[in-house]
Amino acid sequence: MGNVPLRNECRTLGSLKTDGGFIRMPANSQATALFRYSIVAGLLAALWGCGGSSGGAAEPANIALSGSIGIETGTRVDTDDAGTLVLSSSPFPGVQLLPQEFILAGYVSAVSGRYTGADGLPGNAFPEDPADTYSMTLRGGQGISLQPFSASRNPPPLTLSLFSGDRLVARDSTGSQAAPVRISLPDTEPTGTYTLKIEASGTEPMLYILSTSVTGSALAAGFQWPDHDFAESEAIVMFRQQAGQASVRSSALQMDVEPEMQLAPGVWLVKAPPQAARSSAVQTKASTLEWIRTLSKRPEVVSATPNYTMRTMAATPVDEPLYNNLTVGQQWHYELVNAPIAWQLANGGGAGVTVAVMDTGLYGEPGNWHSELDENVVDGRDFVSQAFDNDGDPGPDNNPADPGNAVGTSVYHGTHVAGTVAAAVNGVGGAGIAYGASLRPVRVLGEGGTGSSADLLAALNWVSGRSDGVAPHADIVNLSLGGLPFQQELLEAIDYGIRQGILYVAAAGNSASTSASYPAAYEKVFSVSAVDGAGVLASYSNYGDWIDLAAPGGDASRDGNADGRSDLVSSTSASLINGTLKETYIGLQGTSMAAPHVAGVFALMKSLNPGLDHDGFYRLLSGGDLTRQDCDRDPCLKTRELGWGLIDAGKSVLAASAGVVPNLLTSSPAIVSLSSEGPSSATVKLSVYGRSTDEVSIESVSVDVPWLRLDSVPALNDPGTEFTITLTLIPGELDAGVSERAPIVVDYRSDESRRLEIPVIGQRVTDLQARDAGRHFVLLVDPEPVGDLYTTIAQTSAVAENGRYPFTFVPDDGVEPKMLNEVPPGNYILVAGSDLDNDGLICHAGEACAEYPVAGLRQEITISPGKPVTGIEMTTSYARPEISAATPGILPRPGFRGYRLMPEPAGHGSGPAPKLMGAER
Amino acid sequence: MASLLASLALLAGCASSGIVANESSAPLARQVTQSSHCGLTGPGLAYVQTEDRLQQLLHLPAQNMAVQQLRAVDLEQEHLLFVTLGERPTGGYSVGLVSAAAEEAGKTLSLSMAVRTPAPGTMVTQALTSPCVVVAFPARDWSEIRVSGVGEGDLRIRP
Repeated sequence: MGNVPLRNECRTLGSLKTDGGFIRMPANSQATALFRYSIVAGLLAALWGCGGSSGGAAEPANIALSGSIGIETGTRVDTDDAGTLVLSSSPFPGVQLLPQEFILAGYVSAVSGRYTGADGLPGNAFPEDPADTYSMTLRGGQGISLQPFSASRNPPPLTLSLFSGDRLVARDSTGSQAAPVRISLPDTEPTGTYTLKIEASGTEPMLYILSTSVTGSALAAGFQWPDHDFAESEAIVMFRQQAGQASVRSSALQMDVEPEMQLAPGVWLVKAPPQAARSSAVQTKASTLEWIRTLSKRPEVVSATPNYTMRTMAATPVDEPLYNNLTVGQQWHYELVNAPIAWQLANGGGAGVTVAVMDTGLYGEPGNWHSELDENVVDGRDFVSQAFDNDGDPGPDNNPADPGNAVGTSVYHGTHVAGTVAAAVNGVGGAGIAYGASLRPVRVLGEGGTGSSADLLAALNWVSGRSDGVAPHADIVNLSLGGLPFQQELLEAIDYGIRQGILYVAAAGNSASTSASYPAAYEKVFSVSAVDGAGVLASYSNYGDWIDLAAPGGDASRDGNADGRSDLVSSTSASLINGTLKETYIGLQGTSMAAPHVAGVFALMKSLNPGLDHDGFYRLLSGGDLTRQDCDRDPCLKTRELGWGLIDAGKSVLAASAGVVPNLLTSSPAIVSLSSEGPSSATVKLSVYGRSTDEVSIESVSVDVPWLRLDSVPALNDPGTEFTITLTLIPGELDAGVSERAPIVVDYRSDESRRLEIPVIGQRVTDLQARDAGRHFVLLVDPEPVGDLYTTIAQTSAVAENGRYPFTFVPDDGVEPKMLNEVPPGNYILVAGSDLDNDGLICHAGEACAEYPVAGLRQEITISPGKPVTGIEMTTSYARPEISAATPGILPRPGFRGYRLMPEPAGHGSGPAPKLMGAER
Repeated sequence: MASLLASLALLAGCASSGIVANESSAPLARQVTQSSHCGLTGPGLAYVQTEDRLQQLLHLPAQNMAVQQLRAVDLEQEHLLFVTLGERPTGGYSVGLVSAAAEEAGKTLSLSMAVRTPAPGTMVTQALTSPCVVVAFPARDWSEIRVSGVGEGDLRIRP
């Protein structure tokens, strides 16, 4: 019963607060009203440690909810924000030190005053803080961005000045539209310590976010690929997120580069101006690097990297920038299906196999299709009848071009699907699973992606040769379409094709239901459900007894593989850019995206074993030879979600190989990621793929970077089939905050001397202790808003400790007065954030915000009597999900003003406790 | 099938007219663009009167919109309303503007929409979509925007 005294003791101490006896009145008594509540919460938070446990670890019976809030790397906060200033006599007079890469939120105001409160009454006070001064190390060309925030329509400008000692180096002003500005240290200035000053003007308080380019963008990183070949006069450039397509075009003009192809939103393959390309070969390499260095320093550019090319072996999709470039790399779905090993085994990429894509047609025109597909496209057909046709030539014809939608923009669904099956390897963009296979576009879907079963029937009969009595026009048919009921005619058409040796692969449908969707549900059609980046059934995917296997379809609401991006499947498409349609890569989700992965793998298999027919495929599938399950160890299992499992391209291709396949080494994981904050060591398992009777022997294992240590390597020249390497990151050898990448090189002998390179990414994160996003208020709010605000039921506050904000709520004991951090049973939304401008609201622009479980995707938490909820984790950030584009689950929040902090309960004394208790600075 | 075709014809009409006039024939609202991949996964309305707000609605995952047409709108002169159907399981869905009217002494803007839905049994693409239409109208001090035709009841937003 030790809880009771603790509770009482804390109550007693808590009441001391109301005496005002040991509490200093702030200079600005107007601030007292605001801060009383935070003190109650703060005191209680501190006092929970008083029962003998440390670190706020109250006994479970006295916890309703507890957890901690992490802070993003490089996050800092202005020392004298409004919340702090109302309790101190004057702004911080000194210079605040900042690391080389940071994102900081701050507060300035040329005057003091009051906000307008509810019902026109005076609101909270905002104090005077005319300027903030920071000191940091800068290198030539490095830029600093300043983004102002104001509730006002005509905010006063902020001035950003950069000094070297007393000498002004650069200056800019945000103007009256709260537009962001950026200043850079000129290349002529030496690397060294500089002073940055932000000055307020006008009569309104302002929040701002100051950031360096690297930390300011979650996607930016200075990754290096030392000693790797690259395409001359080409670069992959990531433009600033806010740069629209029109401004990318104008940026490109200013930069004197030619945008070649958009690889992802804001990411372009660009070409150098002609004079750089005319130099001799050696000069061209050097001048390309120099040109890329210049590009990377431009303010509109987040990163510029060479377009790396392959050194050895025939190129596969792994060598395409969309797959391997770390700032672009989006084709996670290929690694998930173990495609890289399949490409080593089936190194023709499915050459000689024809895949018919029955869909919306292709972007482009005959002879000039999307440049990523054109190389592989063979003659197709258009079966769209007049009722659905919109291509200007109503009815069936020989031109399977996708005209796009007559109404609204189009995503060129068929082009996207075809790209996953067989986009070519050409050093640009990405490539398909069966990058060497032939694509036969068969258009069966018209306006808006709709069509009729009669058109599909005609197309199926043409492809199988049934209508003309000729040989089939394809080996595999991909059907990323559905929604049809069972029809005997379609079944017969498909059965005819199967007798001709054709394989049919279809999307299971996106209704998140078990209801059979045709054509996928026909018995001899391989029905494909969709998984996310973690290999888990996608939230939308159909499932049921009729599912045969699963493949990646993506899920925009998840980041299953924790790569910081939502799990979309990237492939070829076209978009309106500056009023003109241009080839692009875009991310989509659906079982439509899953089916072509399977069709591509089947094409690789067919290229090695052309005689494999439907029955042969099904035997392999049900024997566990095509999917991620080990039927040698456990009985083969078929589930309603994934059928026989998630397709494994490596296993599939191996299963299809008729002859002796040389033994190849493969590593698990395929890429090792180490960090001083995450795992700093790793075990890599090497295993053998292939059917050679020769065992593999390791000849050498090496790394040639100082930041990586091999702790153990396999015995050399000792034949075997399983090997293990362990390695450890040496953070001291890395520059802080910068990711490096280097391979572990494994030379081995199977049928001949071969080499496996395992990429390792290392990062030293040093700022954990220094991270601070300002005092955080943690609120439990009623899930139902009242008007445009949520009602806060319980509240506590915390200051950053070792990069985290620990927090605890206690059960409501029913005893008056109710403390702010007491929470009655019920359902709540858990949010947290800073109130840097002291307006009594958290989570508006310019302030840090965390929502459980993920900002932008709030979920309710249930508090039940006697059932403490502990271990809650969230992350706070200045970035909002709308901007970071990581959480698309809900609409943006028009009119959202933030969460309101609770006023002090009536009847409490007038004296506030010092907010700085708990060491603010 | 007939219903699908009928709604197609209806939408084609909207697309060609572009500007919808009120009774006095002055342009009151116009359809800036529509897309089946707006990236906005919840059904509803989003009011845009600043560049920042517009920025928040662009650059979403799985979005493919005529961005430059939206950026070309002078937000000093016109405000934008995103009318979204939310996430749909397949292709074949769209929403378009049919008519606009000012009501209640010109303080309320009433927008009528037509929604296209694939008829049961229609063959459709199996990629998720997020259809929306973006409507522009004079940057006036509207007290309320009312949108009909999208769901069971009217959607309302107070700018």
